[in-house]
Amino acid sequence: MWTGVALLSELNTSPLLYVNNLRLRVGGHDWHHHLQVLPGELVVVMGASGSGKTSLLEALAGFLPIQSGSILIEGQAMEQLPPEQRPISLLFQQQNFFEHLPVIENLQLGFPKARPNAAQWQAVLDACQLLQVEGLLQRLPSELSGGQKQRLALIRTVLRPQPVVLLDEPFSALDDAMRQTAGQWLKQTIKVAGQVALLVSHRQEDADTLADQLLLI
Amino acid sequence: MKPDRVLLWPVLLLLFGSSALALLALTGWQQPTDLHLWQDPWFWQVLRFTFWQALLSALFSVVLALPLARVLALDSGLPGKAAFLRWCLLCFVMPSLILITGLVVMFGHSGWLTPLLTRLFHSGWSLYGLTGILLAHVFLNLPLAVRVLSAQWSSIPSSAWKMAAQLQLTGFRRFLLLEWPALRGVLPALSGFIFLLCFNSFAVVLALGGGPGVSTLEVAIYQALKYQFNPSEALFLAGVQLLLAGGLFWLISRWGKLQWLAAPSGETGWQPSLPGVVRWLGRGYYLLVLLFLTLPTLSLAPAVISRGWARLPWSQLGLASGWSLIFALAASLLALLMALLLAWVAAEPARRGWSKLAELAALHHLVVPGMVLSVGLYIFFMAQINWLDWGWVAVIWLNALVALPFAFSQLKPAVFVYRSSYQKLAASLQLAPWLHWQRVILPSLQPALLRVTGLCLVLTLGDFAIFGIFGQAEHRTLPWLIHELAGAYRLGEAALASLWLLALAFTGLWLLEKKPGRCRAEWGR
Repeated sequence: MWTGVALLSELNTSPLLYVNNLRLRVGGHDWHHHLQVLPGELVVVMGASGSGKTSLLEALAGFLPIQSGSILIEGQAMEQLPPEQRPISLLFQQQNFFEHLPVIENLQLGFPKARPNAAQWQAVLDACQLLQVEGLLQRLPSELSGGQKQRLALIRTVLRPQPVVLLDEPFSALDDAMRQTAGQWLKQTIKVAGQVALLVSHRQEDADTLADQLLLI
Repeated sequence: MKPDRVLLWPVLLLLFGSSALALLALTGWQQPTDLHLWQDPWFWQVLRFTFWQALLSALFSVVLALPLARVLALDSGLPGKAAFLRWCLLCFVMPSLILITGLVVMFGHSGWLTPLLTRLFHSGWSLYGLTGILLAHVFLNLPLAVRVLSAQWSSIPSSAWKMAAQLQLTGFRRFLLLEWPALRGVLPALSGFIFLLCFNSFAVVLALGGGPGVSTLEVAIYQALKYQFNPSEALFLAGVQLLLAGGLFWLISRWGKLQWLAAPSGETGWQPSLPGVVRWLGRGYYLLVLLFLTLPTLSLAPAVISRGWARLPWSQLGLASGWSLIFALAASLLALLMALLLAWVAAEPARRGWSKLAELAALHHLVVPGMVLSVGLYIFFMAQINWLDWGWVAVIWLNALVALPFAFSQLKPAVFVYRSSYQKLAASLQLAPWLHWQRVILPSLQPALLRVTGLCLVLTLGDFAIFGIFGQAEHRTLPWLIHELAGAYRLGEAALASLWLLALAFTGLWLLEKKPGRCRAEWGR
C-alpha cells in the first residue's frame, strides 16, 4: 500500500532528516514513506488508527526493522545503527519513566552521563514551570496523573540534546488550554534549537497550529 | 561484543564444565564403577529405606499441614498468623543441624522429654532411627506445606465464597466445589517436592540415622568416600542417586511450580466464618503445631545456660562462625552474580537460543544433587588437585552451584519485568552500560537482589554435605562444629553453636522478607 505524502515546505537548505523510500511491513501491512525535514521544522503525522503512525516512529528510532529504503540524519545513514546509537529522542505513547526512580532522576537520565549542564537543567526547570509541573520533581511516577507524566516526559524528550525528536501522541492526556501551551512551547523550542520533530496526532487543530509539514498516512 | 556476552562465556563454561566433569567421573572414566553392588542386599536395603523414609516424611508433612493451612486461611481472628507464617519460612530453610541439636536436647538419651516418652512407649523410646528422621523431616517440611497450602486456600476469590454462601452450600459440598479444586493442582507437586527433599536428605540421616540399617543413598555415598575411601562404590551410589533424584525432579517439575517464598497475603475479601467448634479445634491444633515447631529451638537456651557461660567454647565458635560466614558470603555473592547475568540473558526476548542456554545453565544443577556433583568432582580431580589444600575452593564453588537455581528462579521474573517494561525506554535514552546498571537497573532489582542474597545466605550457611566431602578440620564450619559437639555429647556447647547459627540464619531471613522501601530522590547519587 502506498501512503500519500504531502510536502508543504519549501526546500531552501539541506534536510536534517531525510527518509528516502522507506518501506515497512508490519502484520501483513506494507507502508512506504518519503520525507525531507529541514532544521527547525515540525511535521505533524496524521492518519486513522492502525495506519502505521507509531510504526513509522519506531522504525526511525530503530525499534522496527525496515524492508528497504534509507534514513539519513545530518547526512548520516541510520539503518545499520542500533536504537542506542541513533541521534533521536522518542516519546512513547506509554512507559516513558522508570517507575522506581523519582521524576528528577528520570529527567536527568535523558542527558549524557545523566548530568545535564547548568544551561540544560535551567531549560528543564523553566519548561517545568511553564507546563506547571515544577512541584513534582521529587515524586515517583506512580504518584502522578497521566497528564502530569505526559508533560514531564515531553519536556525530557524535547530538551534532550538530539537533533531529531519523535513524539507519539504527546498531548493525548492534556486539556485544551495546556495542549495549546505545550504545543507552542514545543514549536518554539524546536525552532530555536534547530531540531526537527515528528508529532503523531489525531487532532486537526494540531496540524493547523503547529505543522510546518503535514504527513497523512 | 556486549559486556554481558563477554562474561557469559566463561560462566557457561564453568557451569556446564563442572557438571560434565562430575558426570564423566560417574561413568567410571578414571575410576571403575563398582557394578557388583547391584547384587548386594545392603544396596537394596539402603535404596528401600531411602524411598520409605521419604514417602512417610512427605505423607506426614502434607497430611498434617492440611487442617492447619485451612485454619490459617479461614480463621480471620487467629492470633499471630503473620508471625507464624514467617517462622514457618525460617523452619523450612533452617540449617538442619540446629534442629537436630534441638531434637537431641528434647528427645535424645538424656533429653528432657525422654523419661515421659519411655513411660508412654512400653517398647522403649529412641530418637535414633526412623522416628528421629521422621520427626526432623516433618519439622523441616510441614512449614513449607503449611505456607503453600494456606496460600492456595487464601487464593480462592471472595466472589466464589460469596456465591457459595448465596447458594447455601455448606460443609462437604463447599469443600468439594470450592476448596478441593484450589488444592488439588498443587498437592502432587508439593508432595513430590517434599519427597525429593527427604530423598536427598543428608545431615538429618547422618546425625539421627543410628546405624547401617537406616542409611540413605546420600549418607552411603559419604561413608563410602570418607570412611572407607572406596571411590568405585561412591561412584555407583552417586550414579543411582543421580538417576533417581534427577528422574524424580523431572517428573515433579512437570506437575507444576510452588510459590513457597511468596510473602503471606494481606487482607482478603469476604470469607465464611468457621463454625465455633471447628474454629476452636483449629486453634488448638494451631497451638500444638506451634509448640512442635518452636520447642526444639527453645530447648536450646536452657541447655546453654545450664552449661555456664564461662565453660562454653567461645574461641571455637568464633572461628567456625568466621569460616561459615566467609564460605557463605563468597558462595552467595558468586551465586547472585551468576544468577543476575544468566537471568539478564534469559530475559532477552530477541535471542531465544541464548535465553534457553542461560536457563539450562542456571537450572540444571537442580537435577544433579549436590552430593553427586561433589563426589564426581572430588574423584575426577583427585589425582591432579590436593583437596587438603584446595578443598575450600570447591566448598565455595559447589555451594554457589547449589544455590544458583534458587537464586535464578527468584531473580528471573524481576529481570523479565524490567526488560519487558523498560528495554525500549533505556535504548531510547541511550544510557551507557555502567550508568544504566548503576542508576537504573540495580535500584529497580534491589528488592529481588536482597531477597536472593538472603536466600543464598541461609542455604549456604546450612551446608553440611559439600563441606563433608571437601572441608578440612581447620576450616570447620558451624554446622560441622555442631555435629562434632553433639556427637561428643557436649550438648550445651552444641546448643550454643546452634542458637548462634539460628541468629545468622535470621539475618538471611530478614533480608528475604524485607519489603522494598519507597524510592528516594537521593538514590544513586
